[in-house]
Amino acid sequence: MDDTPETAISHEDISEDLRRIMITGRLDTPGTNAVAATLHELAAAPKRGVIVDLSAVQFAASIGIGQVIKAAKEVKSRGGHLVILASPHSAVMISLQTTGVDKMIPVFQYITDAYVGALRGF
Amino acid sequence: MPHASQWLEALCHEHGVPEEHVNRLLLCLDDALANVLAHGGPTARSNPIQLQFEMRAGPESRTASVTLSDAGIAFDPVSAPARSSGTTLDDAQLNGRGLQMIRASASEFRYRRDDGRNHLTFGTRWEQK
Repeated sequence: MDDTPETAISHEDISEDLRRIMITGRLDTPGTNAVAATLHELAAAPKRGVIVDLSAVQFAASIGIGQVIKAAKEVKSRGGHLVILASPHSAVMISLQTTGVDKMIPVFQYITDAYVGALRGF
Repeated sequence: MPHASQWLEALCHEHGVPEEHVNRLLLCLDDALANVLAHGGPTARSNPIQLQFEMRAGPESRTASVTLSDAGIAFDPVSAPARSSGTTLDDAQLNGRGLQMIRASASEFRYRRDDGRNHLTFGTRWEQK
């Protein structure tokens, strides 16, 4: 019965100034609890731009959205910019739009746009 | 909470609920349970939380719903006013979006208080081809 997809987090440094953090699985309570500490640790790196890639996340409950907001605040407080990458019409995109988070944190559908947005400060 | 999700997911698959609607129900369940545990008070946490899954078939559509029952403080999330969680990153709250998420994800959202328990039903409907 336990075939729930595991929520996982990884990252790649695109350049000296830009980091992409990829999350897969579900940002429900168990999934968010599994990756939140690593998300904040990765977002704390001294990079100007941080992309949180949610394009492979199945859905994001409010706890998951809250942790992305927390990471965005942390990045902003050290003078950086955090942006989100999400697939159009996905469950994650609907969550971001429903809650108005897409008005607080720039959301991009294409990775190249996200690179530019994160480095230029949108 | 993981057990509740696994229970719901298994029932959804058994009954052929489309993946998009499984995700909707899982999201609602996560936020509804989180609300009960965070705001339901000690009686919500010390008494069993019950879950009931229901499938309904109409001529052209199907509905899958979950009723969550808890013995916590009476709270009607269906009638509760929308709460602002901030409009900019600077004033954004980290939580408080659960009801918004459920309202946006569920096509059915009902509440009743009965026998000292909250009964919250959320469901999703899709066309049956």
